[in-house]
Amino acid sequence: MKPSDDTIVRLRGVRRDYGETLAAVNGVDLDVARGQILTILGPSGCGKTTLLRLIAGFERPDAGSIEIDGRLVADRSTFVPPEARRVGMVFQQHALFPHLTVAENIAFGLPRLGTAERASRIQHLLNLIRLPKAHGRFPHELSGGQQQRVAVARALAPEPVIVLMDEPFSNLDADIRKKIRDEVRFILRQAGTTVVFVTHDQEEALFMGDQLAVMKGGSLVQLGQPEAVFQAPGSTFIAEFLGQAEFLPAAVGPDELQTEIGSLGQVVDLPLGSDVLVGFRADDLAFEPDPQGKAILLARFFQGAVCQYRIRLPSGRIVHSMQPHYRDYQPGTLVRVWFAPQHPLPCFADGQAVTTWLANAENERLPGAPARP
Amino acid sequence: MAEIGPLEAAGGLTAPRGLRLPRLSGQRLLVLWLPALLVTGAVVLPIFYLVIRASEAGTGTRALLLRPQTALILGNSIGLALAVTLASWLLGGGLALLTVRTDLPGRRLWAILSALPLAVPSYVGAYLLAAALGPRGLVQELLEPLVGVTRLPSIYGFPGAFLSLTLLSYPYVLLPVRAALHRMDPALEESARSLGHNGWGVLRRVTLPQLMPAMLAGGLLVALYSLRDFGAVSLLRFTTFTRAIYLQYQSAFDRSSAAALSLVLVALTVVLLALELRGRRGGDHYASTGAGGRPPALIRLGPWRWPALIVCALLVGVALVLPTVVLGYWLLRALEAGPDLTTLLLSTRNSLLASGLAAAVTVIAALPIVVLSARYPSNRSRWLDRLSHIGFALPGVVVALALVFFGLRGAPWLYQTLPMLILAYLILFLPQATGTLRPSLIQIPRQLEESGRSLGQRPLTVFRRVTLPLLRPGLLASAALVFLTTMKELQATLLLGPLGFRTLATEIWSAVSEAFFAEAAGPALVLILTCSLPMAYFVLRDQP
Repeated sequence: MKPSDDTIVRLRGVRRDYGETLAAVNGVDLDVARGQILTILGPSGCGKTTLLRLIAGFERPDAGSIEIDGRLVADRSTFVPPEARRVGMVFQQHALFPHLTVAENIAFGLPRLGTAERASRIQHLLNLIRLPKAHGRFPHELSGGQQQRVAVARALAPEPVIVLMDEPFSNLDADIRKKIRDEVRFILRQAGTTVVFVTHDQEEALFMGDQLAVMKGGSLVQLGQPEAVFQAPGSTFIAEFLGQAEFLPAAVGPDELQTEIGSLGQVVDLPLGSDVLVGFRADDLAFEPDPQGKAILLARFFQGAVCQYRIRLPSGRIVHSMQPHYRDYQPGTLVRVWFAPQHPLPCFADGQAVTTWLANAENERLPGAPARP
Repeated sequence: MAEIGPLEAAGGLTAPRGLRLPRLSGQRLLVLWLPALLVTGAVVLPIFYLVIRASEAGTGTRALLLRPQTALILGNSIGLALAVTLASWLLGGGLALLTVRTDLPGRRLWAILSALPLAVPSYVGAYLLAAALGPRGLVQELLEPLVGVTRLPSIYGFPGAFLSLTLLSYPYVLLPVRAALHRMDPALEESARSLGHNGWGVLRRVTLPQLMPAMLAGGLLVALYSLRDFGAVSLLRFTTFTRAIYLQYQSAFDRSSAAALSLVLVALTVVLLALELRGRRGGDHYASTGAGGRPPALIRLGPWRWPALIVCALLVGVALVLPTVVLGYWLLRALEAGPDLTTLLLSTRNSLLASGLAAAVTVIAALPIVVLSARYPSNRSRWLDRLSHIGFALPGVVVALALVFFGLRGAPWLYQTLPMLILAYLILFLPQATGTLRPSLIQIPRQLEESGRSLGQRPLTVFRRVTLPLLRPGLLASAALVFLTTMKELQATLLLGPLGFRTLATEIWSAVSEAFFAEAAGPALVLILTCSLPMAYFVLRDQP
């Protein structure tokens, strides 16, 4: 296989078993392009960390092959140890060497260089992470966010072909997390490094990556640009995982979908009368008080700028609607509910997405399930 | 998920995982496995010895074991162990409650003082007891001119052995019970109070049941201690297994009878160890998380604090003050007689030399075993770890007999040399080294080593640059522990030491055996200063 110039990591049929029947990673194919930040998102136990450790060389695949920068590093007969892979790793707990100073940590992986060259390389990295004077400090003297940045600098120091990050922000306090995340993304962009980034936080995944891969049960279930995955989740699992937590059953009509709160002007690529689930968010649902309404407000959750209402539909099904904070209704109010989306809503049959489009705008299609990327 | 690396998780799931690990990096694991297997081979020697002895003696052994004398020894050993354990429960449990949960005046001071005897070697304790209460002892010398007492009730035999072992070993109950009391969540007792129980009811139905695992664990340690003890029972002339084995070997060179008795002794200690292991597992269910360090309410003693204080003072008086006074007295007597400084220096040098070598050898031997069992968990490495603990079940006399046996047959040039003695120390104290090293290695996150490797460094380089510097405190602690324990060791030193190789321990032993109390004072003082006080610091450092 001739390596194409811009593929840094190429996984083919990679499998890693735990025990007799459990597969932690189950036949994963994946390409990561040069300079790209790829995020792997999945619930805990989905195999995303194992996938990362397979690329790093801390584990050996039971089947399949891994190439890094055009070089075969693991398959049935080959195994290149981690130290020879030119892969940088950033761990959840930062894993800075506690007995070494910041400068010594960064220098740990540097090849034997002249003293001057070494010092200038360290200085360059310290400038990059905006801790230009931290040479002599020890990891325990740094804040969590500073430690994180030093860990990134240390991983970047030997100029790896790729940096792997295992939930690097999950140990940080929520309030500084966003800031650090922003900074680290900026640092990585500046360095122009290829990155594979693992997380279970959907917001982080959408923010960090050029590409987003969703993992479940050891397999990749969807791969694409974050916006695309967000708007057209491939399955109800992905939709739920990305925070699209509301579903309503619908019947397929000629030009619309029939639901218990009225019709939705969307066409689905399925026979008339088929059952589908429409996926939506609380901000896709509108309501107004109506004494004749068949739905009732159950509760009101004030969240600052917006206010979320819990509504019981005539079928007994519970849905939520997001309203601006200045619209104030009391629980117990009878209401009429309808769909008010600004975009086509994803539809699912048997848990998998089906192709759908707005009845009046056929060119704006939401693709059906790309069963496997 | 990040806490347990997938390798460990996998090792826990399936047996064959261990067989596949060497694929990861064969050379490195050979570097570890080879020395680890060598050490384990040495450690299991005494077991082979016992098996060989048991099988070759046959009917002879049976006849030996059926002698009435054996029953007497068995009765003595078990009776002494039981009595010491019961007394330790009372003393240790009571003191723990008093010093942790009541408003006893000066309870922190009592807590530290009452744990100190732990660090005194049993033969030193026995020596000080005999030197105080024995014939020609301090008390008699004081009383004779005053009231004409010429004979005190004899301290030799059961009373002396019981008294000295109890005073030395009750801290084994005191310390775990104290720790359990500190760990206990005060909310449990508060719940019981709010459910309508009064103070005594809470103590009986909530507090004491929660202390049971700690009491049991401590009691088993005390029982083991008195079963394995040689110094105190020998000096106070109470014939338990260790003394009988030694006498038989020394006086008659009757090895098969010594071996037969060894078998029974090891069987006893193995049973106790198995019980201890089970108890420790059961204890996990009681582990309570505590309420964020909120201390429980103290029990107000009221007028009871006076009897409580008297008990504490009496105990500390008998276990600490009296021995110190006795030691001081005999030291003065020794100074009057003109102290034999040359011998003292020589035996101190020998003790330091043997202990230093033992510490270095044992820690180096423990390292590959610990790395394998902590970093490459598999069934094989777990077995390695278990086997390395054999020394814990073996009394020094058994290890010594085994090495004499193999030494005479396999390597006569090793017999009664320093290397042979060091080997015995290695077998006896390897569990201490691995037990201290393992937790400190586990505390070093694996990810540090993984970071080092993904930064382009080879495994051995990572070990040298990352693991070893971080492991240094653990290495030092483990070496210090082995060093201090070896300083105190008596039995193997007596049997295996090269001819004329006198250490502090053997000096004390031979002087006291002949009732030359003054001659033992110098070595005892040096021993207490160089090893008991640091040892006490070690034990008490980890106490809450």
